[in-house]
Amino acid sequence: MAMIVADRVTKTYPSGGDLLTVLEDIDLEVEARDFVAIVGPSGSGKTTLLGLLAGLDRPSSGTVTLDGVRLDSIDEDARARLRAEKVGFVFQTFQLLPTLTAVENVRVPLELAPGETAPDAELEARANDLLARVGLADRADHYPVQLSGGEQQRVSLARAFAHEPTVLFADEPTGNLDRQTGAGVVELLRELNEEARTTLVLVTHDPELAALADRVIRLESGRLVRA
Amino acid sequence: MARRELRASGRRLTLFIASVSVGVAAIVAVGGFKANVLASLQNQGRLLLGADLELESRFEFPPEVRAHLDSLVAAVGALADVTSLPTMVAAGETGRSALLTVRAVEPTYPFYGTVETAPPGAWAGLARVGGALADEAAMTRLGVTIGDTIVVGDRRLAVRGRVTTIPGDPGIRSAVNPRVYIAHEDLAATGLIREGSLVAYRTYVRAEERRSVFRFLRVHREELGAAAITWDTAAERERDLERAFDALSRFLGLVGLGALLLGGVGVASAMHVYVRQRRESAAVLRCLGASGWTLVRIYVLQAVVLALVGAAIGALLGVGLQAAVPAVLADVLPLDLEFRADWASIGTGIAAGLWTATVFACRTILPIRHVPALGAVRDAAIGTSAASETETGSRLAERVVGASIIATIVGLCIWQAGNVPVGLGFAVGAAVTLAALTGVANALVALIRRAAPRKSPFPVRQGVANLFRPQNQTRAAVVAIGFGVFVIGTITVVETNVRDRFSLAALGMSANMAVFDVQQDQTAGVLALLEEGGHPPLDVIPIIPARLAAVRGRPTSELLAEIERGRFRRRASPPDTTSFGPPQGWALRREYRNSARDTVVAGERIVEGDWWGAEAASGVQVSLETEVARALRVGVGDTISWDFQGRTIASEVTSLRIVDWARLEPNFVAVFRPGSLSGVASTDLILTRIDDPEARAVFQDRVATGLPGALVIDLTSIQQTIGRILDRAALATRFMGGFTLFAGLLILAAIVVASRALRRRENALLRALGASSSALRTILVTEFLVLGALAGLTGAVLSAISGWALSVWVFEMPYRVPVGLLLVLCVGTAIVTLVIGALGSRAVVRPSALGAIRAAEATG
Ligand SMILES: Nc1ncnc2c1ncn2[C@@H]1O[C@H](COP(=O)(O)OP(=O)(O)OP(=O)(O)O)[C@@H](O)[C@H]1O
Ligand SMILES: [Mg+2]
Repeated sequence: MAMIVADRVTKTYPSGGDLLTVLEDIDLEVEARDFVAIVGPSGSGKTTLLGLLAGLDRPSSGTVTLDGVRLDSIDEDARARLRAEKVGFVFQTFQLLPTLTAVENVRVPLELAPGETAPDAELEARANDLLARVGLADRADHYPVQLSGGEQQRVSLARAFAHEPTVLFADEPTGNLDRQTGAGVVELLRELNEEARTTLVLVTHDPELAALADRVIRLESGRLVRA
Repeated sequence: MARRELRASGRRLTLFIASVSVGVAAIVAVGGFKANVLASLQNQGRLLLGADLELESRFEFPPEVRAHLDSLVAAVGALADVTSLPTMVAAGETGRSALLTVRAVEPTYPFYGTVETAPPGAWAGLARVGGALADEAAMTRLGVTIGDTIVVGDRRLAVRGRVTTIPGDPGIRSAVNPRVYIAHEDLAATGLIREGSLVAYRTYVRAEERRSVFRFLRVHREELGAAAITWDTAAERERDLERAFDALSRFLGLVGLGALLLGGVGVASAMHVYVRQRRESAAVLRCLGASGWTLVRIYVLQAVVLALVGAAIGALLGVGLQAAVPAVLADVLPLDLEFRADWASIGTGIAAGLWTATVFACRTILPIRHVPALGAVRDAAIGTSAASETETGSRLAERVVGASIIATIVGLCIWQAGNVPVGLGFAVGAAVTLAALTGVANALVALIRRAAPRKSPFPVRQGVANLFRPQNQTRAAVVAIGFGVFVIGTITVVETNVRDRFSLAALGMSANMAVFDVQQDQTAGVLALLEEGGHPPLDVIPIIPARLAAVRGRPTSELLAEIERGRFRRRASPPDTTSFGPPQGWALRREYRNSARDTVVAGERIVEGDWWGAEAASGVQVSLETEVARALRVGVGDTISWDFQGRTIASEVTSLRIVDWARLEPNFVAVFRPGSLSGVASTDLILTRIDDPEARAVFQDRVATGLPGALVIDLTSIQQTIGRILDRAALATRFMGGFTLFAGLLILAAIVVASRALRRRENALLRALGASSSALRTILVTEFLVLGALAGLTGAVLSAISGWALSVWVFEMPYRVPVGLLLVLCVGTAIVTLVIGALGSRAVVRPSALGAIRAAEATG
């Protein structure tokens, strides 16, 4: 059974009087533990597709099935629970909570995870460990505004890994990073994919990163083009 | 340029506009209300009095005064007699009785204004068909309705109607003193006018020309004084009213000013957030070549435009509010107010709002001229590093603006207070209050941050953390709401303590029933009645009516004549209230109800001379109350002669007492040594305590039917009346106080709306990370409950302090913190804050969409 199944997914936005079709008839299957890269020109609908697959938005038509659950068959709270349990997401624009420090941001998914939350000290240790792995051990108590764009990107990655998701979606995770740091992040992603057996779906413009993927999916003007 | 900049900022400037609106609304409402009242005051004196001249005496007017009046009236107008006296009136059917004021009126009274009755026209019918009219309070106390019969003295009269309004007699007075109206020609038949009854004889004169009234008074002043006739004119009433109203309008003005200054704080707060958000575009503009001062000009221009919009909205609000004020104050004001928009107050309100908003805004805008062209991107986000630190340029502009803010505040205070010392006092008071509010708010905010439980669930922690969101204006919100809570809280605290002060127990009263005017031969009967019902007679106090015959050997008539001459000589000088010169007229003219006893009672203190001991002494000895003694210019050892209904007896002043008249317990200006006055006419006042209300009513009825002339007063009903007056006064003050709270909440609402985009983005993000909607709700509820509780607590703590200061120093009464009420106020504030927060964030807790994050980004 595939981890992610998109069946004739279409997304339209109202624009002026008529509809703007951003994604059209996307059929896609991603097996568990797969590493899939989505590439395509700017504005082709990559971010939109990622959001739909993760259940952050609903398709105009068609269905998305995530780990055997049809996302349109459950309500928003159930989708949130599913995300808290199984999904990690790295936003193109980081999206850290400005009121929380780096380490507190990383802790959020741990706190939101269903079931008993672990003791405070354990959460703290795990969050710090993750920050150390993205090279930000000494920035744990900084607020997002005190971090550079690349540092925010890495906190956002650490946050996405925190609760060991089954599926990780990442929107241009290396877009703001220099070569070296970017390579570190890629390394991290691969480790996750291999050790934790995480399914990886990521959007990238970086051909090197795409080359590491098991499969590359190409989007052009909202349509899938096999690479 | 300014316009284009403004367009992008949208409703985030709601806070700015709302703040200006609130202040302007308050100023316009108070100013317009004041103008309305002043307009209605024109010629209101006549309506208040129902005539141009009122003459009043305890005694029937002597024939020669009547003759003067007749000749005055023949020349200029008309005359009407109104005779009033307090008496027990009973319901014919049930026998229920109450102490009421009976007013026997001639049909021409009042000359001005109309008496409204149900059914209409009943007033005119009084003279034609007889019977009685009663006001609402009287009917309630007797339990009668139109068509029932009541017993007034010896007459049974049908109640033909209810008096709803009568010129110059505000509802509150009839609540204290319910009235029954009968035709003047029916008075004799009631048999109520007897030796010793407390009758007030009033004659009302209509004089088309006011000057004729003044001339009459000038010519006959002395004669009227000698006949113990006092007078009141329409012109004097107008002046009194203006004075009384002045105090009220000043109070309202200052409350309005409080709202305006609060608005100023809101403006500064809004501008602060706004400017910080604009720093990025300011930096870009700088890159494009705009100078620092150009930037300042752009933003000041924007502030002025926004202030204009806010002021216009505020003026509309204010006019609406002004229309509502008379409804709230209707029972307290002796006026019928006609609503009219007052352009002058609208203009000044708008100008004051515009100016205040501009100077407050300038203070926050000025630093933007130092924004560095590059590197502002990061600074804009951090918002902490003040760019002005990098620039050591002139701070002159800041100083000028700072000084004009202070000048503005002080100027506005003086303007609204109407005089310099009160205005300055208010300015200092406002500054101290705001500083204290800020201090307490800061302390509490710091405390909650420190104490925020690390163990509590994530949503709760997140809710508390949200209070410290960089652009959240938590302190501004706490201060704004806290100020409102503070005003309401202070009113509540003072009100509670005033109520405590007037409880029977605090007034030193163990009795709750008093029987007045019991003739000597009736005393045994009352005591028997009490014994029968098993009620203890707590006290039997003799009451000895008397007037002054002579002071230190000089007859009162001679002294009064001398005062009159003196007044003509020194007309320009202020009334003599010093302890020099001749005795004061009121003390010479008044009727005294004296007593005799052998012990000093609670609520009085001997300050000079000695209280009499048990040993026998010759002559009549008297102890005087200090105020009256001062007015009569007498001291220990002086002689005073009294006129006991025809018998003149001299007495020696042996001691002076200070009396706490606020106590309900009866006390007297002059207390004689018991036994020294034999054979002088006196009545008894009998005090008792009857706890069961039924038994009180039964006793009241039996005294009314069995003992003609005796008056039974249920002191608990007096207490209820005091309670009612307090209710009204509290309502009026609370209405204005409520306005400041409303202003605070409005500022909160604007702050919430302003931070909506931020909140939406955060919620969408938490949603994406897997937060359930209940978690999001918990975050929201925690944030606003804590905010409201902080504001409530800040205001409550300060109001407990200011209430203490007012109670102890202004009202001079014991103080207690009404902890329960203040707690209710805190909880109420927290809940209202929560409701506003929830409403303002309505669209925020919504199923998430990636779109929300994007939308927030685009505007963010
Ligand atoms: N809420 C919206 N309303 C209207 N159009 C939208 C909305 N959100 C996205 N679009 C449009 O959908 C298209 C696809 O956007 P999307 O963000 O998915 O592109 P992308 O492939 O991620 O581009 P980039 O590589 O620049 O990030 C764009 O043309 C965008 O303008
Ligand atoms: Mg994208």
